[in-house]
Amino acid sequence: MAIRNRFGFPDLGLGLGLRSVHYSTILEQHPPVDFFEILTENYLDTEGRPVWIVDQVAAHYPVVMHGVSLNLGTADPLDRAYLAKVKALAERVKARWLGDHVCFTGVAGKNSHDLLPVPYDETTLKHLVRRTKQVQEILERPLVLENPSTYVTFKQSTMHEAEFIGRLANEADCGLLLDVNNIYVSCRNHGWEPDEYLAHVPFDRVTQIHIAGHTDKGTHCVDTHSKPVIERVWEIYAEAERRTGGRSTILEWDDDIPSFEVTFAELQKAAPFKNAGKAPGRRAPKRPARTKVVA
Amino acid sequence: MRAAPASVDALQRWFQAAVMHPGGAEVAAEARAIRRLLPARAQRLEDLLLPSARMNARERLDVYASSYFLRLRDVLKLDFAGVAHALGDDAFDDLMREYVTRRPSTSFNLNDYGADVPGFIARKSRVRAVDQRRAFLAELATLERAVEEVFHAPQAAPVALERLQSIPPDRWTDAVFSTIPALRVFQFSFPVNGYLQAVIDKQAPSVPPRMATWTAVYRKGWKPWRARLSREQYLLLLALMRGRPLGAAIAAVVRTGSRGDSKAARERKAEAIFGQLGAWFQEWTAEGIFREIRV
Repeated sequence: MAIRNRFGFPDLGLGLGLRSVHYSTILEQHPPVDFFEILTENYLDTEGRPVWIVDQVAAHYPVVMHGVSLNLGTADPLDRAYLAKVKALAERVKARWLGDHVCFTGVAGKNSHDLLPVPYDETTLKHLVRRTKQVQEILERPLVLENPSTYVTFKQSTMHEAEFIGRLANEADCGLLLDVNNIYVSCRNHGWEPDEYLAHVPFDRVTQIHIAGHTDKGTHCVDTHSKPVIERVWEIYAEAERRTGGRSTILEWDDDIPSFEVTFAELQKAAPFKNAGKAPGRRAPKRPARTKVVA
Repeated sequence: MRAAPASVDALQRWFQAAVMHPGGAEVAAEARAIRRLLPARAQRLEDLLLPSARMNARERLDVYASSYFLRLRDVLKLDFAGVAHALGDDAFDDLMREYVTRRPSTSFNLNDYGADVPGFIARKSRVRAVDQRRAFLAELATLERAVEEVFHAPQAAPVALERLQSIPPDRWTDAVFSTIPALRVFQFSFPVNGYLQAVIDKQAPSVPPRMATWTAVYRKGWKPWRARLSREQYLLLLALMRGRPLGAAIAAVVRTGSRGDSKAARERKAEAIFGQLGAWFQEWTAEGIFREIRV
């Protein structure tokens, strides 16, 4: 049964993360992508071509914003100058919503340019809830926060990542961006089960879904966004679509990016799951038997 | 009994310092400076992070630590492809490791992260390969950095050729030419512009001998361009960029390097410049480097 999105955000369909190697195809051919997700920071602090590009894209397609530098979890004060720029960009491109990650990116004034993990405990939860509320007040809209891929486990964590993020969403009253590839990657890295993960997700908070590929290093998986989506991730996506009844879905591809045609074809693989999620009484396409995910 | 959890700030400062340590997680785990940051009475890294089924805690932390340097190096390699070619992979990595270690990013904006690279090469780097050709590398980095700057500089509508042609001949010396924000001019002691072009053209150039050169870097439309200038062109543009009227700018060009010249020699020099002015200004206006002409 479909669960209504708490904020009333629409299902925009199947979209792509906007990447510079595809600019010319997108601007010249206007391919039938339902919407684009822009990486927020690529269009801040520039008055050159990136801004011109994003204006053109926003004129033809719905746009959502996805940031990597909000630094929500940091112990540092909020960067209000950054937030002002984010807000201005959101207004400029008429972003349907904007989000970032459950993580910190730096502390003591430094920036790692990575999504660094936080422990899943009550202290950190309280900190993140307070900060999320503050950011939402400043931006005057709900945030859509993504579950990160993580590679370490803090000894002081007291709850499952999905429980932590679910509680954060409920207590801060924000949306969630469910990255189903990150679910797979983190499950591999921590020895969790995707089903167990999904059981904790408050699906009424899920506004958007990410699909992507990753790199399997044998000992662990890395969220590289450099390959096609694997079968097991499609299964998790299908389950998320089934439970939500359909959410705006973005394919991310950031490294070894193929041609637009190949990227678009990969995105289209999501269509059967999406239609299955939307049409009452129809079952999701049959997938191969699940394989256990182990660390 | 569970130990008291580390504070958000203390845990993040330790984690970030360990990730940013140039020696990687294994070295960071033993480094005195990092151990001093261990929070909540932790004695060792393993008191804070848990192993997975296939990786120990240090290996798990190293997923973040190893990608930290590689990510920033890759960003800088895109911005400084000429410097990377001149140094070769190993020496460039050494330079970047030194830069990343001593100049950690403090901004969300990665476009600006390389802003200090030219000065760092000129004055700070202790990498032996840099020391052997420091002046050349610093100039090359300055040129490459300028390309990045003009790419993101504010856009300004250039004046049309008709505006130039509308200036009455008797008012030329009073004319003030405002240049676009996306213009930089340089005097180099090496032919770095030709070297950079040869790198871009994959001609595998060698480091050239000293030779004075003058270069303009500007944006036309949305694309950065590099143009060779004569010494007189460089001096004239420099004076115009400082807001001098054309007559005063030409006088400044004539004066520069003319100490000891006779009055007649200076007049000949001025006449030679006047003789070329029409062609220069036609070209510069066509290239869009003036945003306003005030008479």
